[in-house]
Amino acid sequence: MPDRDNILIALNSPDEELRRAVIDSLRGEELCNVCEFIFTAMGDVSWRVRKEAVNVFVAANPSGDIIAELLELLRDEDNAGLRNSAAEAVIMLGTQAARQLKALAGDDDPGVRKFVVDVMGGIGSTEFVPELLSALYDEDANVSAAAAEHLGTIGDAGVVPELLRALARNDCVFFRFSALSALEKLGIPAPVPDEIIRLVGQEIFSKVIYDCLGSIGDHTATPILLDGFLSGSKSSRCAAVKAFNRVLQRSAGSARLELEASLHRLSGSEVVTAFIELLDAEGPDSVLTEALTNLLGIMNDPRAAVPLLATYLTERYSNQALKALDALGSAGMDAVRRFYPHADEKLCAAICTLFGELGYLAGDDVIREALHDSSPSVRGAAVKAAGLLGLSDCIPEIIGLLDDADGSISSAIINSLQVLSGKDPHPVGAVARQLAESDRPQRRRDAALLFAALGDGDCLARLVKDEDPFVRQVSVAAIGKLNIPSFQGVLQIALVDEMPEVRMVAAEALGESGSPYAIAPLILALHDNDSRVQCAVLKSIASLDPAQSLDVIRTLLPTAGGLLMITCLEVLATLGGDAALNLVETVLQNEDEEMVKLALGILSRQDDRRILQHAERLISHPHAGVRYDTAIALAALPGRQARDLLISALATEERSHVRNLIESLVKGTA
Amino acid sequence: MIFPLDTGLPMSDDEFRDIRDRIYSHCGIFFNDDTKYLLEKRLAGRLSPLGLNSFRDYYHFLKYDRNKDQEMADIMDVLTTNETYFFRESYQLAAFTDEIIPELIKTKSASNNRLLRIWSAGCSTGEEPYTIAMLLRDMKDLQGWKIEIIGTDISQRVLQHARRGVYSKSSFRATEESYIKRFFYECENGLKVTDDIREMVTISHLNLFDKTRMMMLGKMDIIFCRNVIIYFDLAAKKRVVEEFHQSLNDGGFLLLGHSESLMNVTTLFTLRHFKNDMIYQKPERLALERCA
Repeated sequence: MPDRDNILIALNSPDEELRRAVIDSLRGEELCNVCEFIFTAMGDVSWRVRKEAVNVFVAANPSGDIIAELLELLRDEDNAGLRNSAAEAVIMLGTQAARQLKALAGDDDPGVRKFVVDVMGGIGSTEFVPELLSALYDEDANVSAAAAEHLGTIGDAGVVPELLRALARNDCVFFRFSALSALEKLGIPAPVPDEIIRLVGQEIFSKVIYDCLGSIGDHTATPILLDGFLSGSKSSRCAAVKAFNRVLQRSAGSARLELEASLHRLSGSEVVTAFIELLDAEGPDSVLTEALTNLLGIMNDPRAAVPLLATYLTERYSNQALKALDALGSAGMDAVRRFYPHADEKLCAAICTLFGELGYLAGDDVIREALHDSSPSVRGAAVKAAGLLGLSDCIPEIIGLLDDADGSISSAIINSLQVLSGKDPHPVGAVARQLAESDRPQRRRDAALLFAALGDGDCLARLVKDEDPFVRQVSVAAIGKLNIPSFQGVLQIALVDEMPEVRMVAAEALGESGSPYAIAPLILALHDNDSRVQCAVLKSIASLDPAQSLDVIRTLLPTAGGLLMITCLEVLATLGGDAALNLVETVLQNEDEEMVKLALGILSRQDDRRILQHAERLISHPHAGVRYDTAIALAALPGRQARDLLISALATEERSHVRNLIESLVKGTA
Repeated sequence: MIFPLDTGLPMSDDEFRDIRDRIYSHCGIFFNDDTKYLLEKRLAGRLSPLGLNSFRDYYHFLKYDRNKDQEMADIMDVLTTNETYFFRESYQLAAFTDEIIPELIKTKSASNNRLLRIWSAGCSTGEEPYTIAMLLRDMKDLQGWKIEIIGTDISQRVLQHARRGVYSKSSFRATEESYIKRFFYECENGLKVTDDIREMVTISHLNLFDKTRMMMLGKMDIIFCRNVIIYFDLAAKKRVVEEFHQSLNDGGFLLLGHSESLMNVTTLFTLRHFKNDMIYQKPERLALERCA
């Protein structure tokens, strides 16, 4: 029993740490003995003390009576810290406090009712939906608005009709904001409801309506959102843009075509200018930037091309911007080309990369100029683009850049030369032979890559004997790609190289050779002490002789683990058939959850009835990921047994994400 | 990065979650669903050198390959954000020099302790620990004191940079000319920190999720950990901050970035309101003993 006087002295001390520490020291005490101190501390001036008191209270697992006492603290009008601490504690207790909370839902004090509604929303359980629906019609607007807001948070789709009714009946602006936001959060797609259409045109609701339609609207929202593109308020314009993009993303077929056509009609209009003004790749609203990028691409107005370059340069949006710029076609690229002389170093590099990626041949003059740029990044981008565009007349200039190239430019040069060697092999061959004599291993590696592109097996065979393991690795891999039977001996010898990376590519190359004579050395190489080599060997055996690979796997499976086991499963999945799936089924007993999940995935795709006999054990597997995947597999099975197993799993499942999945699978909403 | 715009293989949502969780359990850095593009883009370049065909294979590599630890260390270089500069967040540095250090000098002198240990956790390319060294170098009251400044980071690439101590223009956006004149000299690739400042600073590799290595650093008087825990989720923040609490001497200070707070993370630190800034402090043991 703690010393009451000492605690009181400590709680009245001016020293914040002392007050916090004394509350912390009450952990483990009977709550009924220390409750008054904890409640006092919940109203302390310091957040640290209040937070400690809440944590200690919740950890003590309070009884119903004590929870009722806690709820009484919500009535304290003088101490906001105390009320907030009490609310936080109840939220942390969750549905444990449901009975007492519901009892307070009809309290005379609107302040208490508001707290109760907030706490119910904070707990977030569907158990409170009936109370929150009633509270939609509370005479106090703060309460009804909070109820609407929390119905949105809880996410029960069944409340939508009642929310719409309340939206029509309650004309309080504050309430309507909350109800529209709740509908947005619920996100149940539908044609635009009449209750919302009636509010369109009231400027005050513009933004929240657009937000809502972005979440729930279908193509019927188009006219409302198109109007929003030129709204007088910037926030409404932004909301309309984001909403239109969301509607577009979830539309398909003719509805999507209709939406795209409505955007296309805006090409050349002032909407494009308005969008460009809003486009800010550095801005904080990434959803807006993504939406603008996407919509500008569909509008197909070349004026957007140059503004989109900044988006293309930003890591987050570059893929999307590339698509948009591609959609703008040659007119867009012509605009970019005209802009090139005014671009800074970063943009110049981006433009070269863009021209290469999009195959914009009319930009060849820019690429040729950029090969001589003073900036290494521009030169590097130009080299790569020259390769992609097939500018074989640039080969001498590209080769000339090798001398002063650093690592990344050097690899771009080699990539380009590989591509261009098909058009003009002679200069590339000459430079490859020159590189093969270099003292630098990196250069000899480059030579191997070029010989591979040129199909020069003899030169590669010499590099296979190089002292640098990476040169050997690249050369062996290249020889494999050439598929020249006379080089099989070279590959076989490489299977015993001291570097596992070389042995691995040798195994791969032998598999690609298609030669039945490669099987015997590969079988021996299965005993390699490196698992990645073993994996490569197994894959090669499987490609050369599938039947034999089944026998091999049968011997490997009992002891295999990690990457080798994964490869066994991949091969078995490729082989298919009863014999292979029997082996996959044995892996469902494996201790490594990753293997069980992989085996489950294969069986789900190829013969999901096999899962049923293991389902009871798998749905209660110690690893949540296995339970998750099993639930998905079971839901795909016809018949009562699988469904019953899912329902019974709900009773014991403790992990929320698995539980939520099973609930939605049982309801059929997943 | 020369070609940041290269497109790579798409990463499926499942692959993203698995790789994200693997990285999280390694170091506490949490990539939420909104930042999938970061993993997709920055890890795409790892597949080809490792001879892998998909991000699923890459996940298996991170989980099972014998080189998985090295790979995880390597990808920290591309996944962590390293942009920083000298004399960042000047108001906080003013609190450090004008209020925190004088207070520590007073309390430590009273017990005849003339050792000051400062840890820059997540020091990136080293601008922060060298800034601290330059500021302390100027303080007359610290003459005769032993000062140890330790800079750590999870990225090995940035540590090489920090050890080299050579910086380009962007690192000096908030540096007064007088500091540049006194503590830097020109070299081939920029400005190099003078030897007397480099001697005050020790740079070392550390994963803030590695409790043992953290303990090996010993007790600190001040920990700078600015703009690092923003990359952690709540559980990881709590874990790391509680380790900082263990690492600090009683009365020691924890300096976080201006947007970072311990609200809802831990109640272990008290928030001191200084003239120049608000700083977290580990309470003196005295209060706890009184309570006991």
